[in-house]
Amino acid sequence: MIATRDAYGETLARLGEINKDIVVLDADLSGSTKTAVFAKKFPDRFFNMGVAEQDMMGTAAGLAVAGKIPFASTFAIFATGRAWEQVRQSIAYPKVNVKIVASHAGITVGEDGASHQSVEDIAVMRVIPEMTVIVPADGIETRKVIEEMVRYKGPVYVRVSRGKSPVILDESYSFEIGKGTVLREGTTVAIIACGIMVSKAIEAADILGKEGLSARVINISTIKPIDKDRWVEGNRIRFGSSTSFLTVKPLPLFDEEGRKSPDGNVTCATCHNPHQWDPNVVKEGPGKDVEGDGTNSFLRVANNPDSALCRNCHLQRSVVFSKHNIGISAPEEKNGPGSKVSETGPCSACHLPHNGNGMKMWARKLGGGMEDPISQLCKNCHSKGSLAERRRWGTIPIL
Amino acid sequence: MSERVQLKEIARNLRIDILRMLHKAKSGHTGGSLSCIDILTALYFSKMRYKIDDPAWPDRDRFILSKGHAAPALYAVLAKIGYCSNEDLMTLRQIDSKLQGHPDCKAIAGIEVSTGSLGQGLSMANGISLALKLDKKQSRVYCLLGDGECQEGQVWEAAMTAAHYRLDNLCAIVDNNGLQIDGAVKDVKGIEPLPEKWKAFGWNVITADGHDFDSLLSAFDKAEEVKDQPTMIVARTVKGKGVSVFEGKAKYHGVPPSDEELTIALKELGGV
Repeated sequence: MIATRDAYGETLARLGEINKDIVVLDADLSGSTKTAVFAKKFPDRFFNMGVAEQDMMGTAAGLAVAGKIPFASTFAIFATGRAWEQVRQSIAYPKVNVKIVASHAGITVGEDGASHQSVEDIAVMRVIPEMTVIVPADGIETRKVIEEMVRYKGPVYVRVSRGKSPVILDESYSFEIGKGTVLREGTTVAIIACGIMVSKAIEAADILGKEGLSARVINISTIKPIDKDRWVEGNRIRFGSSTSFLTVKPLPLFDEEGRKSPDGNVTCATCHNPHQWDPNVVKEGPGKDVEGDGTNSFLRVANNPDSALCRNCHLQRSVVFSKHNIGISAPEEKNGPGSKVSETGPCSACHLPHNGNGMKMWARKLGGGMEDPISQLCKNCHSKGSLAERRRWGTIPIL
Repeated sequence: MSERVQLKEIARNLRIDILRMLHKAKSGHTGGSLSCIDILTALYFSKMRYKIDDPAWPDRDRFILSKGHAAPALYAVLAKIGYCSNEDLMTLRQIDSKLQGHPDCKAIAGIEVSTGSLGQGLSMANGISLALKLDKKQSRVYCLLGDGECQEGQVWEAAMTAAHYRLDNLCAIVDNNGLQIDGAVKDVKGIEPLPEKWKAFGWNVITADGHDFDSLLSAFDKAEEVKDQPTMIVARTVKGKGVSVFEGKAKYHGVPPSDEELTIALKELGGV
């Protein structure tokens, strides 16, 4: 375990011996950002700018223009928020060789509260032309990134964190700007992460593995320029045989109902609609005791014509291991208006007529010809002898 | 011809260039370009050391135009030196031109840093001064600010930095013409007493007449003698100086000369 800020401070002090052009600036947080290690060793090449981040960025720009390699550090929120326009005007626009290494990023500054928690820094740095944005995953990558920063000419924003995090890379790892790395092979989902969330992604992959799901883990440490081979436009990964993806952010990915699907992929909400059932109505009849207590989420459709459609996901070794007894069919009377099989058929579980362009009806998740439980979900209806055998499934819109 | 007479003649010609390029561009900052052109003339054609054939000469003195909107004044000077051409001047503010509305250091040799967003030049001048000191260079750094620009907080952050790091190779100048876009500085948001403020921030302060070459050059010489302290020259100037229709009028901060005004101006400057 090592905090990436510690790796930064130690690396900087070591490189300072080799390269005399390195100068370091801080805005009264050198103890926290760990530039104090350099300051102690090379007081003549360390400039404490006091609590003046805007001035610090401008001064760093001046030093770079005159041939130095300045590293400017403070907390992420002040480096990127308080001094954003100085970074844009004085550093990025003229493309001068300033390295902004900001610590205490994200919510790793925790106890200090929201004023110090920077959740916007990556976004606001990324939009500035000429700016490169790097978020190292651990102490080893941080060291390699800082070494590369000394070689690379141009403005860079490097985001490091306060807390100690696991070391996940080894000495053989070689960092290259703009290159993602596959840390764990997997075939069913790809988890893309950066910074301290990479180790969390590996943990998640372990958990998924225990449930029979093979997850690939990709470290995308350079946020800009993004590795296009590994991260395709539209935030969709098509990496080898991986069939779906997850991005890991240090923010909730799902809402409290666990059904956030911002990009049209299959989620719980594809088949379950928690708002379908009116909890104020006490249900009578055989349906009231099955599939939860009648106020929880319910299937959008009865599991006719083929309950295999449910089993695709709700069996062990499948996407979602479920405790539900899927032997009990969700009763038709539990489905809301317009979702009754007798009225609409089961198509709407997977297809939203208004999800596509014009009259085209799109699947919520476009299978890419992948052999996995999710695409099997498509095949249940779109195969020979089934309900919608004449309709095609796959990446081509089903008309 | 004495140096003073020569400088006056250069400044007169630069004023003509400024007005012609602004007139052609149909937008731009007339008043502030004219108020600071004598300061630039004194620096570039008497005080500063640089090489015409080598704009990147490591031992050159540096000039930072923190009040980047006076770019036409800087462009006129750089054309006179030969870092850009007279034809370039007539492309001011046009698409694809090297001469943007505010100076772009990537476009023309001799522009040390990109400016335009006010308040940022002095910090960059500090950075250059620090680097020159680390490298034990004798070069000096000059940085020109507007007086309205002194309303920017970063200017005072930078003022503290220069004093703290004893940047005696730095000489800043305020083009104190007393006017900004919205009117008189004292009405918009007063900044006086400027000399006392800079003194309080730890600077050696000299007050000069920004249109008098004796006054300006003597101030630059005095600044060079001071040790362990940056110098601020508060140059009292007249906005729009040199052309009667523009002098002392806030209106011409960001307005170029019309056809009529150019004719009058050229007549007054003897440029016809």
